[in-house]
Amino acid sequence: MRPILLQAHERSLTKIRYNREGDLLFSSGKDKIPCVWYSINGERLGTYNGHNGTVWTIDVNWDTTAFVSASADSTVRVWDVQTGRERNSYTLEAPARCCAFSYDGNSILYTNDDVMGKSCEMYLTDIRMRPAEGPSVRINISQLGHRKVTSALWGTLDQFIITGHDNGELVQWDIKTQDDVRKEKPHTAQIMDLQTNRDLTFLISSSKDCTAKLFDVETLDHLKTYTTDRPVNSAAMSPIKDHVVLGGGQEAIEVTQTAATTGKFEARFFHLIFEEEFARVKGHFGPINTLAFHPDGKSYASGGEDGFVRIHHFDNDYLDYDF
Amino acid sequence: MPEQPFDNDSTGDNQHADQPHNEYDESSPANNNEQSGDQEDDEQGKEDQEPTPDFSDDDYGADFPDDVLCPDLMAERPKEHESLNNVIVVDNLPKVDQGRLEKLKVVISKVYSKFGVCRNEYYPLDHEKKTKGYGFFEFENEHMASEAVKQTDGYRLDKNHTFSVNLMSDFERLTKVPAEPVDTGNLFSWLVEPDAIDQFAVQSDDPKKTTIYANSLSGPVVIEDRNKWTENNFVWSPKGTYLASFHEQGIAFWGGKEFRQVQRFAHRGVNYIDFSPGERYLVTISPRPNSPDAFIIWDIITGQRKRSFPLEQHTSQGSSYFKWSFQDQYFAKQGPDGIYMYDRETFQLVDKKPFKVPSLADFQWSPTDNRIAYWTAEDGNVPARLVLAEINGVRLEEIRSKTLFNVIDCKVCWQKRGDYLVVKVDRYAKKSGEKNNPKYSGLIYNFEIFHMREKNVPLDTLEVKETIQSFAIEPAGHKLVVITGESLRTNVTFYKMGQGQKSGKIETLKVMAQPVTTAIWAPNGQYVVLAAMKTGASSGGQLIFVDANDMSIMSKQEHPDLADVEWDPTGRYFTSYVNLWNAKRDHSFKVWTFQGTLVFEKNVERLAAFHWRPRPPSLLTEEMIREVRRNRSVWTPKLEQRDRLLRTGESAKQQEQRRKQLDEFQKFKEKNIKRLAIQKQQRMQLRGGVDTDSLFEQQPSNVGEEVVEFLIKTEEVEYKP
Repeated sequence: MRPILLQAHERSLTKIRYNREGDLLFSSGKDKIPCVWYSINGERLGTYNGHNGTVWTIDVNWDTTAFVSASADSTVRVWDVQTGRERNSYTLEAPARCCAFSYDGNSILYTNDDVMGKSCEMYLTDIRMRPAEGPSVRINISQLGHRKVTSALWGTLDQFIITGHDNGELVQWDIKTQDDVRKEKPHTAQIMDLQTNRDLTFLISSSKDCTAKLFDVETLDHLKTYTTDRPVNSAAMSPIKDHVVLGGGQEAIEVTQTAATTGKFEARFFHLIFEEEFARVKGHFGPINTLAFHPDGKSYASGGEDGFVRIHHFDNDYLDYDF
Repeated sequence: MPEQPFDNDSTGDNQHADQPHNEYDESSPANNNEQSGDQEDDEQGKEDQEPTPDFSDDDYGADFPDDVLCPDLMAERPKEHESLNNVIVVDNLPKVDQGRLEKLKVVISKVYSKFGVCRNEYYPLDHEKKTKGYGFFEFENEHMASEAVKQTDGYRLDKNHTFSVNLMSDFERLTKVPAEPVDTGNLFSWLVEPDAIDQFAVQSDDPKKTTIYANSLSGPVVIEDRNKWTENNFVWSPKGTYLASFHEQGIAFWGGKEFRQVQRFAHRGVNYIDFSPGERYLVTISPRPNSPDAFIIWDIITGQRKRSFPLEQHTSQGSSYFKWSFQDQYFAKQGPDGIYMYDRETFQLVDKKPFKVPSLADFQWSPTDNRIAYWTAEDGNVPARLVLAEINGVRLEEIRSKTLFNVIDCKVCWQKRGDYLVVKVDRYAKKSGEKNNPKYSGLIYNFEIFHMREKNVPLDTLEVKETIQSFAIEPAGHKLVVITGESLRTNVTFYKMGQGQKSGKIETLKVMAQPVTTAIWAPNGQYVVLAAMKTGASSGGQLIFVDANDMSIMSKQEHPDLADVEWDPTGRYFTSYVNLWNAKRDHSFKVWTFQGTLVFEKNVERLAAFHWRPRPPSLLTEEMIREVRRNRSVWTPKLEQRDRLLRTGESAKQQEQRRKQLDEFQKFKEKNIKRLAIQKQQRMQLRGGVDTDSLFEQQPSNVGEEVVEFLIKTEEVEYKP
């Protein structure tokens, strides 16, 4: 089936996210304005206006009422999904990088970059409180000897948090004690993205070292490795099949020197268990920055450095195919 | 067997002498003499039944030897090996009976009297009292003997008798020190592999590693993998028997089942090597100026050095300096005034003089006959000539020639089976500019095609209007592929040069507009791949697999940044690769079937070289091949069955492994499911009592009905509800 092209971002995409039901698709890019779309036909529902810099990460809560965005303008904002109105804004000392809703949808975590002489810090806040009251938890990541957080998400039952770092490190944080209870270094280069499967049991990391790896969320046991020959910017797990999709490609900074064919900007499908690549989907003419599976597993979306979001619906052949 | 064929640390010859492997090192005569001296001592001792003083230095100073007590006297004392050094052995003498022995003695002593007084001569006789064809001659001193050896080795007594002369002492040494027999096993072991699996070798530069794969049905399998096997490059011998590795000290050959070292050729600083097509001789090239042996020709089996040549001023560096005739009988080089052709029997010039060919530009041997095609460049008013010549005894006879005017360049190419000789001729309409730097305009291209197998060798001319990029002749067939045009806008034209015994008009079969640079025929013809190599203008990478029987395109594939391609020796597989010389990254090779289906691909960091192991020519006669073709219907089912068996065997193994992986993962999942079940209440609690686990199952309690209308862009999207 022909892919749906979502064409509203003027600059490269940073993150796309489906809501839990999968009817809406949220996207953010370097152009300051996150958008929301109907995932079924690609019609744009609206935008969230207010940020004054690249929006690095977005997330939506489980009942699709609140939407959070972290921006390089050093603010993290929580929005009302339906009206697009800004609910809360949290101002940081440095550009914000990550944000994520907790399982219950009441708390958010966010981090800031370690630039301008600031430390990389992670904050947890209850969005029902006023921003002036300050974060409930504040952890100075740099002081604890870790590198900058590039990706973060909540673990099982909101008991812990997992962060990916720019040296390839993976850290599990206990929320109560605020300790880094588990530290692994599965990658040799920056972790670009972390995603879990639907029931929050597996974690997949993507790294510049050209691999994506699968872990157990609780123990951080390394289970599988998916190897490509290009940096991997994002990887997502199919909710219905034992498949993962990897996106990436030659780094944007080098792309001008190479033809599209050598950049390898395809989305690559691997078998979750056998670690074997079995399909590729072409389309983007720049590296894929972010990938998301539709919760029903029948389509997936990719956002690229080229500024496009592409929604690909799988053919029946794919859905019938048993690897 | 040491892994390192040459000891890298040894800088001096003294160190070499300690190693049993270095007898070949001719630069250390001192060591050799010492060795032979010791042996003689032993020999003599046995014969004379007398204790012989030991002159080796080993026991020096152990107890007071004569050397210490009276050194002056000892120096004058005759040494037994000296007397042996005075004796020469002359082989290849005429075998005569007793009656004519005296006459022979007179003739021979005449030859040797000029070197000094012959103290002693001895002609061994066989039981019929005939001479055995060799003799011993003792001179007064060592100098005379060595001079005699130097001057009469290779002396031609008459047509049938060319002397082979050695010092007796050398003889002892040469017979006593055979290279220790190395058990390399069957050097042809890879050919007896029942499924005719071919091998290929891949060299990566950093880390230096050479890997040999067997291209089995289910994909390539590594059979040998060695670090630092060779210093920069490797070469397969033309029949695939040996893998040659390059080292600072020389070349090493590896072969047999386990790729053990078979032979070594010491040639310091060797850069290139070249084989005779029959794999009998090796030419090693170390292009150092002023070196008397820049080129050395070796006998591959014995490892013997046959002859060396100095580097000449005008020599073009490169591996094909010497060109070998098809049965290794002759080798020839282009000299300043013609073709210098040497005979493999004597390693001397045929007829003792070169074949004079004024302004010779290039020549090529026929791959199947003792024929040479050459062309001479335009020289003043003398036009260029294209000549086909045959060797007749010691003469080179012209069979066919053509005079050509306004020639810039010619490219002489033989078809692999020797049926056709194709010469691409570049000509000009106008010439201007200086003499040394002429400018040409109005370029014209044509092909001169010789039909070798027909009476009087008829000649066809094919004119081509556009610039010729490249061309390729079907190795076993009658087709010619010519790629014309500018880069990226090229046309591929298929011509038929003739069919068997008929000559005549050259037929154009098909023209394809495809952006490619090269055409590569399968070794047995019929299939051809049109490939676009990486050039300055484009990264190329197109691979078009064509069946030349009906000119159909079987498949179009891609391998960006393509450096080169190679067919396997049987024409079943085709490989394309990207190496470190032409791309910064993605050094890889891909194996395709002849139809263009990808079988295997592998990234090899800093891939430097890729080569299939050649096979010797088939031993089947034309008749037998025809027989096999006729019985194809009998063979095909058998072979297919075998393939199926192999495949199912492989896939069973794979399935077994997958099942295991699947089971392991399943256990893991089950553990998670249990955990999830336990945590279910907690999860629901977190989300206000809503069960969000089963998203797409109907949950009447919290799902209401809602009608949603969408705007559907029908021109863009196919909507399936």
